[in-house]
Amino acid sequence: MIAADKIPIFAFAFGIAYAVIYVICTEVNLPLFTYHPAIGQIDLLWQPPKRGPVMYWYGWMLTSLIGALVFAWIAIAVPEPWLQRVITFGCIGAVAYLILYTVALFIYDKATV
Amino acid sequence: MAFWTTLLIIHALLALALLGAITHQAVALWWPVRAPAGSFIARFRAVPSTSYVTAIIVLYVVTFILGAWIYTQYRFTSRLALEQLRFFKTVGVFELKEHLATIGLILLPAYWAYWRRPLSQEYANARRSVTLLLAILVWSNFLIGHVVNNARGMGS
Repeated sequence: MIAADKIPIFAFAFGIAYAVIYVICTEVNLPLFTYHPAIGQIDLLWQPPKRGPVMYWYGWMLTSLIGALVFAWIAIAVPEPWLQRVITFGCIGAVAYLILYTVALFIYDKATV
Repeated sequence: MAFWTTLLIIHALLALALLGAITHQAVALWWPVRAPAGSFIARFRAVPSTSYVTAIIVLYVVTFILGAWIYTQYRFTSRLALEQLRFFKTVGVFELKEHLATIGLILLPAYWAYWRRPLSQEYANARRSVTLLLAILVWSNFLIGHVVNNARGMGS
């Protein structure tokens, strides 16, 4: 049971952690399971396509859900100033990642072979 | 195919209801009426924002689940057709939709927390920001879904 004043902290930490973990999961491809829609088969962790296309989105969401829940539970246990530092660091990291990724894509697009 | 088309229509109708609810709430929050409502626009802005919260959460979750279910069929039917037709921008924008829908879903706990009664004045700005972000996400997803369905809808 979470105390009433901890609910916004839990919800906020959950949202931020989920977003960060989700980006990592999509970039590094870390699904907890793989779904093959054409044959209706579910495999554990990442698997290559079998017959037809493959879907990792559901697996990414589950991986992120577990990670974000763990982070949110930790967030309500630690002192608030620590949490604020972690969230600020995470937000700066996310913006830096976005800028670096965009620059990298721009260079890749414009570079001559 | 009739089953998936029916699901898609239900998904679209729920999305439309969600769009109406979140737009009402966001407008009432960001552009509240100061004087008694007279015109249609003023009455649109004068709705009690708090009463929409539960409906928006339920509509979002149900619409998301239906969309995620239909996505399995889209992946190996409509999308393959779109790729064969070289509609790569349409496919790409739908990839964006899956991420936007996920962001909206994970925003719901914070949205619910900031709208809990009695409304805390401390969270007034956070409430406004989260509601606006959710409205932008719902509008984006609605428009993307509409564009993709126009390109190569279920049953076409």
